[in-house]
Formats: sequence, C-alpha cells, structure tokens
Amino acid sequence: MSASFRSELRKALSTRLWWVLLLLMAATVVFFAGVFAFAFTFGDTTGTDGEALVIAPRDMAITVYTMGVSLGYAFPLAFGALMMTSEFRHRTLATTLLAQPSRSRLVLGKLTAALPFALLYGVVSAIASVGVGAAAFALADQPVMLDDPDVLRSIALSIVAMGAWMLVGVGFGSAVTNQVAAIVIVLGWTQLVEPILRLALGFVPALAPAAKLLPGAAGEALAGSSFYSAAGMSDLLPAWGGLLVLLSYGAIAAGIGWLTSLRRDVA
Amino acid sequence: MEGPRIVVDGLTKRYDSVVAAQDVGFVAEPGRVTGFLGPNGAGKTTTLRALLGLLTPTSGDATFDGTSYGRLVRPATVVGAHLEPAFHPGRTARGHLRTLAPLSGVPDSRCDEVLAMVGLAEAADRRVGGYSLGMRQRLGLATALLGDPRALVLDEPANGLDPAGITWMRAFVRAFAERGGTVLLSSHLLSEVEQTVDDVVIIARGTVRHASSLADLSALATREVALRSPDADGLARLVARWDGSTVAPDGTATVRGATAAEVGAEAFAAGLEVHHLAEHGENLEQVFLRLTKDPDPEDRLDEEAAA
Repeated sequence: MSASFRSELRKALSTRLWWVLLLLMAATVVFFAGVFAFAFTFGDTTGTDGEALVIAPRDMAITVYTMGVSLGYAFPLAFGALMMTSEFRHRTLATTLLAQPSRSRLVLGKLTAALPFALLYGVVSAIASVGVGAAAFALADQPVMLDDPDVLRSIALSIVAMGAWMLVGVGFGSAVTNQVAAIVIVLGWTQLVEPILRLALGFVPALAPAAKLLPGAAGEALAGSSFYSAAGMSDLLPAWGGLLVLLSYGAIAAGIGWLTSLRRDVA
Repeated sequence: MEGPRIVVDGLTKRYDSVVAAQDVGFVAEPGRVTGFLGPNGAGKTTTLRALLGLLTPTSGDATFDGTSYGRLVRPATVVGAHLEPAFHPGRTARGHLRTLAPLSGVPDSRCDEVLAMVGLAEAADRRVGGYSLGMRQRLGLATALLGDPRALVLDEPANGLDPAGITWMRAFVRAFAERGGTVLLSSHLLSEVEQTVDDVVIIARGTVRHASSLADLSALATREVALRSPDADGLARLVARWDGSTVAPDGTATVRGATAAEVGAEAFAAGLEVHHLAEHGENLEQVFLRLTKDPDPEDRLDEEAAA
C-alpha cells in the first residue's frame, strides 16, 4: 500500500499540473475574494428581490474567507480527476498495472496520494481568500472578524471542503476516464449547470430543498456559508451533512468507476 | 539467472463478434529467445496482454513457471514487459522510472542504472514529450529492466529503431538469454528478428500456425530448381515428370520438390541440352508468408457462417 502511495505521489509531483492548477486556483480565489470584499463594503448590495441586503459583518467575513469553496473548487476537483484520467489519456495504465496488478490498490494509492495535495489546495485557498479579504476589510475600515470563533471554524472547514472536492475528483476521474470529457464536465457543471440549477430550483418551492443536495451546495454547507445563501438565494445543509453528501458523490462516482472502467481490459 | 518457463495454454479471447485469439498455445523456454510472429492484427498483442494480466481471456491461461502474472509477488522482479512506448509527455525519463521504482521494489539508484544500460543517461532529465520513437523504445526497455527481471516480454521492440538501434537491441536480448533469461518478443517481420530468435511461434488470424526452432522452420522451405533449354518440347516433357512444375514464357522451367542433382541427372539421361541449372530455396520470409496467408476464401466463408 505504501508503495502505491509513494508511486502516485511521485506521479503527481513529476509533472507541472499540480502547481499550475494551484496557481490558477489561488489567482481565482484572490480575484473573487477581492471583488466580493469590496462589493460588500463599498457597493450597494441588493438581493434578488431588489431590496437592500443587510449582511452581518460575520456572514460577510465568512463568505469572503471561504471564497474558494464557492468559486474555486473546480481546481481541486479537476486535479483529482486528472490524477486518474491521465493514466488513460497517456496510456500509462498498462505500465502502472504491470508493476502492481491490483486495481483496488491503484485506486487506494491515488486516493491516499491525493490527501497531501487536498490539504495543500485547501490551505492555499484559505490563505488567498483570508489574505485578500482581510486586507480589503481593513482598507474599508470594516471589522476583519479574525478573532471570531465561528469565522475561524468556517475557514478551517473550508480547508476540509476543498480537500473533499479533490477526493470527489479522484472518484469522478475513475468513472469518466476520458480526460477531455472529464474536464468539459467539471467546468460545465461547476461554472454553468449547478449555478443555474441552484437558481432555478430556488424559484420552485417544492424543489427548493433539492438544491441543498447539489454537490456545490454541499461543499458550501461544510464551510458554513455561501455566496448564494448570503445573497438569500438558497439554504444549506448543516456542516456534517454537507461533508457526507459531498463525499457520497465521490464514493458513488468511484463505485461506478470501479464497476466499469477499472474492471475493463487494458488494451 | 534462471528465467521462468512461459506457458500459454488454450488461450481464447473473444470480443462481441471477433475472435482475437483462438486456442493459442506455446512455450517460451528459459535461455532462449522466442519470436512471436504474425502479421498485424494476428492476435499477438492480445495474447501478450492476456499473458501479462491486462486483459481477461475468455478461456485458457498463461503462466510463468506455473504462476499467472496477477499472482506473481513483485511481478517486475520476475517479468520485465514493454508493450507500447506510452509515457506521460510532461515527465522526464528519470521521473517516469522513479514513479515505478516503489512498485517494483527497487531503490531509486536503479533508475539511473537502467537508463545507462539503454543509453539514455544523457537524456534522463529531458521531458519524454521531446523524445524520438527510438528513444521511447529504449525507455520502454529501461522500464522493463527496472525490477531486474528474469524474463522479458517485448511487443514489437524493434519498431521505430534505426539500424544501429536494431543491432543494439539484438545484442541486448541475445546476451539476456545467454545469461539464462527467458525472452519472448513479437514482431510482424520475420527478417527483423531472424538473427535474434532461437524459436519461432507463428500466429495468424488468432491461431498458432507453427511453433518450432528457427532451424526446423528453415527445413520447411520448399526447394525449387530452375533450368533453361533451347529445346522447348524436350524441356516441357522433362519437367512434366515432377508435379507442380511450370515453364515460363521465356523458356525457363521451374521444378518443385527436387534437387539440382536429380534434375541434372534426368536431363542428362534424356539427352536434353541444358543452358542453365540452379537450385533456389524458398527463403524464410516466403515460408513465413506461406504459413500466415489467409486460408482459402471458401474456408473463410465457413468460419464466418460458424461465427
């Protein structure tokens, strides 16, 4: 098992992908955390009903400080997926399985090797959003809120959420092994489909609770805040429920992958 | 070093409507180089992948000293395999080998050893994306050697190598077998491996057509005698004594299944004036083509009807 872990860790570290995606994620989080911090503090904030929103400083801080979980989670998700799909894309799966024929060890190796990267992406996301957000609040003479235990708890859980997204990615990559398809689905879902679904479901009272179970909403629930819920557009699950739902998506995807692509002949 | 005995037994792999391998069986002995030969699409790669546990055969099995690949302990230390030169283009050669060292159970220093063995020490820190096909083949062989195995299974190892590379590869596998290792290598060209292999297994359309030593394969070559004479009628009468003989329009007759001495003696006895008498052996490539050519169209129709 430790051999598979070391092998997968070396695979991830021996190409440029891990730091390229990490930098892109940091840039995205910095941009959105900055934009929202300034918008909350300097702009006139209105909700979907046109009424002025009154956002408590604590909610504002949590939303900005966990910006990665709202708008940056596509990066750890994509990295996790690419850990699996690159074996198919570059036809290296045969070489891997020749050195170590057990396919369950292969998946476990990838999942455990993803853990340090999950932590890294989560920590960098937290540092980026807190750094920019706190600076913006301070500039606007707003409370920075970094002494509030709820805010600190949310920041810590946002690291867990970003890490969970990476594990979901590994599961997703085992189910959708075509790398191009995997990237298109990750981007399409996170940037387009889920945001639209969450908005649309919000307008249908009977379906509104279902929005809480969408993966992005589950991730935000874990961190305890979201851009959508702060804007009054949807409710969230409790934190533990968010983690459970999010990891379930990963487990279901990994299960599908286990029963399909990982059972197949390697030709 | 004592290489494992590789035994493929009754191996069949059927896809929906295609039979990629039908009851394939052969043995590759330690200390010998076995050539697994057949045209493209004959079932070579399917057989090798089943042997290496990458695909599950419909029936039959393949073993190394009685153990299937999936049950070998630290398989890389028993069998070194090179199937296709597929690598992540963004990884260096050393980086690629280092990802496999923990799985193969060897120290990292072994990566540099095998790179030196295949002549890639200078290029070790270059990304594989910039490698030529020949360099990729060498890196594939280095990958196979990583676990210091006792057997080598190589799929078309000479593909993409320049003449110097082919000579080097020949010498390498010969030396490996002479140290007692087992070598099984595939090729679609007999001429490419004629100077390398001790034994041949010839496969076509999913079935083994022939398995023997290279010497026994040579013995299958049919002999032909060509002769010319100004006396066209006398020549035709003479060669009619042998079945399957022909006379070409330019007056050259070809006699099959006889030696030059036999034909010469008969011509002398018949008083025929002979201007040219020469014996031609069918060369190995022709024997190979004859053994791998498709069966008669009628047979094929029968097969399709059966499928």
